[in-house]
Amino acid sequence: MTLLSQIIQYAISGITSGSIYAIVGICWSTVFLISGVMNFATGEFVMLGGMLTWVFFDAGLGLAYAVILAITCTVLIAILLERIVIRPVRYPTEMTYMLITIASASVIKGIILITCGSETRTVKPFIEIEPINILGATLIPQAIVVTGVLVIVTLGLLWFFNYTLFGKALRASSINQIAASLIGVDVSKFRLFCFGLAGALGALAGIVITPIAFTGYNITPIAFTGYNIGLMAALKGLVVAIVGGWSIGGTVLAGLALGLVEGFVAGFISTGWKDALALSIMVLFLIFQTIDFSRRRRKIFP
Amino acid sequence: MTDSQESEPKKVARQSGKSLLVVEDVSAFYGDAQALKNVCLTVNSNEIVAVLGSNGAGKTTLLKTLTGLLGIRSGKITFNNESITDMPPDKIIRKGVASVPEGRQLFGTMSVSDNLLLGTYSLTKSERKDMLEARSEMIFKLFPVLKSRLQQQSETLSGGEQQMLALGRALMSKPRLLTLDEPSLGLSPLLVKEMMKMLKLISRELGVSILLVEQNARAAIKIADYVYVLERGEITLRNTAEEVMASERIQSAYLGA
Repeated sequence: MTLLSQIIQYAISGITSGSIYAIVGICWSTVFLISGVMNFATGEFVMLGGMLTWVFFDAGLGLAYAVILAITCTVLIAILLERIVIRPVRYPTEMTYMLITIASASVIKGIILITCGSETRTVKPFIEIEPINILGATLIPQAIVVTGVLVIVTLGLLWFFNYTLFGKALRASSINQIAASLIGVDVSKFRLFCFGLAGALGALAGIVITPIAFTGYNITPIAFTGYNIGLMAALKGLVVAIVGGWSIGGTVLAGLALGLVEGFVAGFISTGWKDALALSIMVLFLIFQTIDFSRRRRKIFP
Repeated sequence: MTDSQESEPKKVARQSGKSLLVVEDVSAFYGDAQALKNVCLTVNSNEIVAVLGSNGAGKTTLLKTLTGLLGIRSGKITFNNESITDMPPDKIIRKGVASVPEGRQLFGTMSVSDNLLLGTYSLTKSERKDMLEARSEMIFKLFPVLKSRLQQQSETLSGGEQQMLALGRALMSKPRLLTLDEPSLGLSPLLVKEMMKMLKLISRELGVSILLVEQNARAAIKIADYVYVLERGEITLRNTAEEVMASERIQSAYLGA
């Protein structure tokens, strides 16, 4: 394998995993910006998407039905999460939200472990064509699906938030909740919607990575699915949401950048370094930003 | 002059056949601290009512209870013969009470035109279309500067322009009652005069009642039909604006003029 084909190979897997990080990052920010909740169950949405697809697919449903059902179920679980454990908190602080969502994540994880087992799972690729050879590097078709989903999600959300009244009202609520309620926004409904949206996007991310198998050159970090992929997916998403400044565009760029850096580090140095690297980036970024949260929160709740 | 208006029992609201907003005996608290004590107040149709008072008198609290941002402990708020007591803000605006809150509360990183558009959020689709066509024309006639800044982020506007935009956004919801929290705050004396003139015009042209809460008593009295003075959460004076203007005694006792 030549150096060039290696570089291309690592870039491909970097962009693939970066796309996932970006979508998960968007899940974090949709929830955080509107409700101030740091939702550590975000990663479980990703896990649920993949695992439930496998469950339904394994039960004999067609792939398309399995995907739709899995997304629906994850959305319902996300909505229930908001209704049952987030909303009843009487004197909410960031810390209580954080602990509650971490605990909820463990519960979801535990239930899936007991009901679905601890093995990693996979489903068949969505498009069944031969891997494409680019200058000696292999591009697996599912990588195209993953990147395509990111492109569609990003463009769709940008359109939604910038060109529809509902999307603009959502943005307005994230800027100033009191003013939003004064123009007629039912902010609690919006919170619920954002949890649902995060559930749908997270599930989608989890679904598209499920068919990715380890091939010879593939060093995509997230492949297959299993009960325990949630935490790492969540943390990577959080990293890119923070680095991307909680905006859609920034998060997508940060996600792709993190994916590429990880891809090259894993390829040229060692796969063992890539998670440590991602989290070190977050720590450094937070130190240099001297933690942006407080300023943002004041903007949301003036 | 006789002080018959002052000596009327505080609990009796001003009576009128066409009262739009009736606040009866309202008390509100922040924790254990009482911010409003048995406040009674009436706003009639097509009337401008000014509530005057110094810092901490409870003026903003009063508006918060009217717009649903703060629950009340006791009392009753009626708008257009319908109780809006304990109604959340997003329902109250649909009854026709719009507000220009303290500090304008614009959507700072959104454009001027988006802020105006969001003002129509509470309306139905067809109403929104009408408002966006007819009323925005009117708002641009009143505040031409907004038209030239449509695509600009609202936080980059000057203080006066932001106040105009906040007023415009509130008007886009087709309100029957407009409440304003210190619209003169942070404006130059000339702009305050300008703003008050606009309010008078808006009230007349659009048939909107206005409840104006102000520290700047002189400016507010000039356009008001009726005046209340709020002190430490209690209404201590109620009278027509004419009487207040005429009586030096009232002005020196209550308005520090």
